Amino acid sequence: MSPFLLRTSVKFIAPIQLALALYFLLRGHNEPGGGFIGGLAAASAVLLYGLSFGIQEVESKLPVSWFSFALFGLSLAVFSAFISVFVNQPFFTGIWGPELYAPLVGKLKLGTVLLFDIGVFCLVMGFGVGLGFTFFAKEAER
Amino acid sequence: MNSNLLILPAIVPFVFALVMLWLRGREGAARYLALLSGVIQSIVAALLFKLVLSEGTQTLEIGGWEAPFGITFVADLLSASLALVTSFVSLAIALYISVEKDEPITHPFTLPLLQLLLSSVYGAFLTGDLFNLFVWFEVMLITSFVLLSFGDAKQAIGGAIKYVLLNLVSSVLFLTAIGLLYGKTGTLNFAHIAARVGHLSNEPLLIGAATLLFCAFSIKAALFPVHFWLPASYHHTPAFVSATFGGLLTKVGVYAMIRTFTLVFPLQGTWLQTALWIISIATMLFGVLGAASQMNFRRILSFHIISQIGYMTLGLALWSPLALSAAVFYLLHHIIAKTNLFLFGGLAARLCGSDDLRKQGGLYSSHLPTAILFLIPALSLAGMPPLSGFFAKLLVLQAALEAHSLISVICMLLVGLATMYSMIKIWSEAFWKPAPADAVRPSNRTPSAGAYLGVAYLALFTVFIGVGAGYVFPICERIAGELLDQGCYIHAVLGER
Repeated sequence: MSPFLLRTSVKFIAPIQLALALYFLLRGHNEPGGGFIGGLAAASAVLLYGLSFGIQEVESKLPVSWFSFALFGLSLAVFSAFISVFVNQPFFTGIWGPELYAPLVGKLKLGTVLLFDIGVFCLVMGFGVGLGFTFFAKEAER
Repeated sequence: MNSNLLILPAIVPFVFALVMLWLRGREGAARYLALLSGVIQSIVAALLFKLVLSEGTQTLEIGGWEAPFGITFVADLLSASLALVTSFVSLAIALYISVEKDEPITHPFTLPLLQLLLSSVYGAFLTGDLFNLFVWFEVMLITSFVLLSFGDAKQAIGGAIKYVLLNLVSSVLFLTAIGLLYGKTGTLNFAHIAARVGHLSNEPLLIGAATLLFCAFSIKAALFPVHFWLPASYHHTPAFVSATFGGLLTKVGVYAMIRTFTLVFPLQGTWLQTALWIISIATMLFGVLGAASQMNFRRILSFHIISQIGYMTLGLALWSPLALSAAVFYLLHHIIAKTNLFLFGGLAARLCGSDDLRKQGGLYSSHLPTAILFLIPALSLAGMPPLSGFFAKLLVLQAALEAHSLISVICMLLVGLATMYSMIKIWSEAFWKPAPADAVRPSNRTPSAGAYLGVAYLALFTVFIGVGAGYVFPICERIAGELLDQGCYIHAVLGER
């Protein structure tokens, strides 16, 4: 039995979900959103894709494991907190760079806070997908 | 006065845990990283201690958010000295496991998790925010639960389940108390809560919150009616993991208790003081009686943790400058001596091939240096002069005499005697008795220099705290002074506001 309807619709839905996740991530500093919710949205996109096309299909396209992906995110988040120490500010202080104009999102201020959010995004996405796929694999074994 | 030094003890092991995870699978590298991490932690903690000793309480407003709005890290002398002692433990354990052949590590995540555990212990000692303390407690609970569940025996899982269930209850109580306090005072910063609680002391909600915190920390510290998670779980882990647990975990509970019930809800004259006094005595007695019936090296030690926790909380319950300095002295001495004894437990099990005292024996004739080194923390724990435990017990005893609390004095002396009995039992079974004829000995019976260095390093501090009590005790007195003067802490955090 091929879940034809699911596969066809996921091909359209998953990219939209991913774009939405990025949107959440980038608007997150002052408005609702941020790395955590963006990471969850992105993870749900990948999980949906994996559910309809199979885990191997997704994992064969990826150069790294989900664990490394999450670990990268955590390391990035810690690193972003450390930048303030190097410029002699209290730990975790946001250090701000130039302001950009991003399409859809509007004003986008670059800084360590965005870096931290990206770190959280990767951590949550990696963790969410890794956890979900582990359960899928267990389910498939039965 | 923001100094990033305050956060470094918590961040250094965290970063090392990340590096270990990147290098996962390369076990040798992780051992060296643990050693490097221990050295850096010691340096950072020593610098922090020196700074606090010379310049008084330090604060760090994380992210530049001013207290009481952001999370503040506060290092008064108590926090700084506990961080320092933790760094000794960290380095000793790193030394103990530094040589691969004598301490197999069963799971690649063991060492990173141990670093995260250390990070959370430092964080709990140094934070000045009630909710942040809760978060560090949770990190500690999760990492230690995973470490406990790595043991494959059925009993290990049973112990781990008991551990996590009871500690989750503690977390729920803690969180409820935080909710009540926040609802009543509108703040989570320790100093700010203390300043605001002062105005409304007899509010029923606050008494409720204080009682909930009391119960939550009692579970964490393994006080009498809720202590059974501890002896059920600790001895199933590898020796160096149980040494970390035995040295640090319950002591964070005691620290939280001391901090909360001196700063936020001063115990003096409340019914909690009487409750804590009764519970402390019961804890001392039941802990030591529990140990008497055991024949497993590390299980005996687990019961003794409980009994010794009673001494520390008794110091808090007696509530005088002398009693509080005695409690702090006891805390500092106990972390070092207990960690060391657990490491010896591992060493003896490694040399005899079993954790069971009945199957051990003959170590005195075959491993004389180990036997002599073992005597230092063992006699210290039992309270022999001139080692650290003697002065710790003497101080609590003096405080009890000063408070005319005859029952405490009698119980303390009895418990001291029973502790001696346990240590003698271990000594005569594992070291003095000839090895049992049917014992199966492991082939490799020479522990490496690393393991010796680890235990000797801690023994050195036990001797130092004892012989140098004249140097350590004034520091404890200063800590007690700081604890009893809430205004000093509040001023350091909030300034003139």
